[in-house]
Amino acid sequence: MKHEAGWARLWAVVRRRRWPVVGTTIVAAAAGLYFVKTLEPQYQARSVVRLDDPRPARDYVPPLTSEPDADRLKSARMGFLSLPLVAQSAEKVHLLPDGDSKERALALSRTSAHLDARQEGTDTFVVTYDDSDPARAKAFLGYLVDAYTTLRSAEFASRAAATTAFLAKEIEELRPRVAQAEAAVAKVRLEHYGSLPDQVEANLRVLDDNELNIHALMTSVDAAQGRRRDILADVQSPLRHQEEAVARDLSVARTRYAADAPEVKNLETELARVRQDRVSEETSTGKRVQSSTELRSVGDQIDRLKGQIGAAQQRSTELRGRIEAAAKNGESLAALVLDRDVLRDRLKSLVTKHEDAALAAGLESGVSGHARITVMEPAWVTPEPVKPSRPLFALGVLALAVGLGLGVGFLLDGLDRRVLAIEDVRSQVGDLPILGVVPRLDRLGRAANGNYTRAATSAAGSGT
Amino acid sequence: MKTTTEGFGIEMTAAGAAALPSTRDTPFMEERRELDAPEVTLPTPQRMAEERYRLVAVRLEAILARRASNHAARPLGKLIIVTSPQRGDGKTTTALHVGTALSRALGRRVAVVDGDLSRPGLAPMLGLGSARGVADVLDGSAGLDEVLLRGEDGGPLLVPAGGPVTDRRSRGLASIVNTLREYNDVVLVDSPALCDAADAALLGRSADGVILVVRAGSTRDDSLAAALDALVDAPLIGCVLNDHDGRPEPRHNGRPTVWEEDE
Repeated sequence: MKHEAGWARLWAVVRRRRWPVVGTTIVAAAAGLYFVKTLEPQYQARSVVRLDDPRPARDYVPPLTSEPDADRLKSARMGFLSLPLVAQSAEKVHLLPDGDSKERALALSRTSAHLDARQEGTDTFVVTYDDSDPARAKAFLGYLVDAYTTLRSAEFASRAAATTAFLAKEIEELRPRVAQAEAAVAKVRLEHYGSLPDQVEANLRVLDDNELNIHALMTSVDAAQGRRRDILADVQSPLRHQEEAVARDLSVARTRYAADAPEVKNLETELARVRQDRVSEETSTGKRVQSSTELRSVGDQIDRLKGQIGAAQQRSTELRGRIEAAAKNGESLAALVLDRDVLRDRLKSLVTKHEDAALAAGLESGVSGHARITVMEPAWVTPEPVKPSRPLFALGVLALAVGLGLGVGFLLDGLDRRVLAIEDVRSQVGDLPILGVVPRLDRLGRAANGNYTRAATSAAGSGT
Repeated sequence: MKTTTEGFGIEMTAAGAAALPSTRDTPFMEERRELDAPEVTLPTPQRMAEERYRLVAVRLEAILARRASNHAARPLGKLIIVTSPQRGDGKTTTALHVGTALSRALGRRVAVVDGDLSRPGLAPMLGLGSARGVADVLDGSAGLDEVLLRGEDGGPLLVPAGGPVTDRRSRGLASIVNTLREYNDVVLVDSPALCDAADAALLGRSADGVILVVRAGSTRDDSLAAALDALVDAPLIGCVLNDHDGRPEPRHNGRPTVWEEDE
């Protein structure tokens, strides 16, 4: 029953339980020191390895996934500690027992626990292995480094070959699709030939030429018609001028005179006679001209020119239709061309990658691991044991012994139900006053009253 | 040798002086010397322990005086029962030394009675062997004045337990104690441990106070709790922690230790 607190509690426990505390501490310290003394010395084999290129042949085989270099180095470190490699190397130096798989697993676990690989700088690893046998430690570490370099080289070669095969498969799958896209583009171009966007400019140029041609033909028609008019003009009688002059005089006379005036009547008679004479003359002349060769030739020329103009105008209409259809055709063709170009670019890229991958695979299969990994420091063993650090262990053992002793003291104190201190009494009696605390009496102070005893006894015997 | 309270720095209160029969006017030392009782040598504890017992005595007297101020003054001396939860906790030692301190240092007329008839402690402590005492008075083989002993140098009157008796009723012991109270200021009764008999609880009901002695490193907490339960009807006035290792205790919850209170 203890009610101290903090350091006072610790001190009180040590004071009250000094012998169990001291005894336990001494026994525990002795046992611990004996254990430290009997610990087997451990030698450390050490090797320094540099990864010249911690990545695969990146120039030839672009990685499919992005992995930071730091993570690559971590995985490289874990490669040194991987159990298959450790088991392979341990087998060579007979660290693993034959037979029982459980014992082999335990031995492998112990071996792995004594192995360490830590990164130094950006591309260098220090690999260490602790063993009680220095020669075995050195041999194990040498095997481990060799196995690691071989495995790593094989891993790169395997990855390059796998990449090559994958790219080849992709190319084979992509080629038919590219051909199909190209056929679709060709078909559309063939169907809409003449009204494709790249032919619009030519169509416009042909249309302009055609319009010029039409214009020239129409000019020729005008000229031919002028010629025919001239020919026909020769057919008109000179009486036409006389007729016109009489007609003017008649008009003037009607303004001056009455309709039935003799001047008007005479002029009307004159005009009718002249007109009759002109018609008669022109009829005879017309019959003669109409049968002339020149007039027929001019007429034929005009008809031919008009036929040419009609054909040219039809051509212009056709060209305008093609120009208008080119936009729509261009749109559908552009989509097909785009698909085809994407597929074609992808195929081209894959072909390039495949060629690179094939080159990388060839390189990796021919490159040994030592060309990629440099063993800067071959396995060597420390001349003195690195473990255990006996002074440090001894200090730890002493600290543990003191802790154990104190623990025993606290345990005994906790189990002790006796009243030991004023606080223990206070916790029980509450507000009841403690009249005093009397220290331990080393000397009981027993009184010496032997004479009285004899006297009292004799008095009792005498009855007084 | 004349012993007074002077020199100990103890100031008696007016209440205390009124509560206890005054000794300043009556030369009780001479009275005791004139008493026809054998004088015995008292054990002398170590200096430190002796001082502690004196402090207990002073404190006890202050408490008795405070209580007496609240009640009518009694003609009889104060009856104090000294008991403990377990055997061997130091009842007899405490009763004897507190009685000695009351008598020598404070000048009180004190009687110390060994009430533990089955396990007498006073006579062996005084080196008296089989001295006559309470048991002899109870069975009628001796009178009270025949079993009285007188402590040297103004020490208390001592009444050993005496020879074995068959009838250990506390009624007989009570009559002896009452007789002693007529002639003493304080009667300290060393009663049996509470784990052995109910005498302490019975005597305590008619006593002026009960002192519970606890021995460090011996008394168990459950025994102490049982003792407190047994004395629930008794006028318990305080505890004495006995056999302590002597080192000062740390403060706990800001409450001063007994020594700091006293000092």
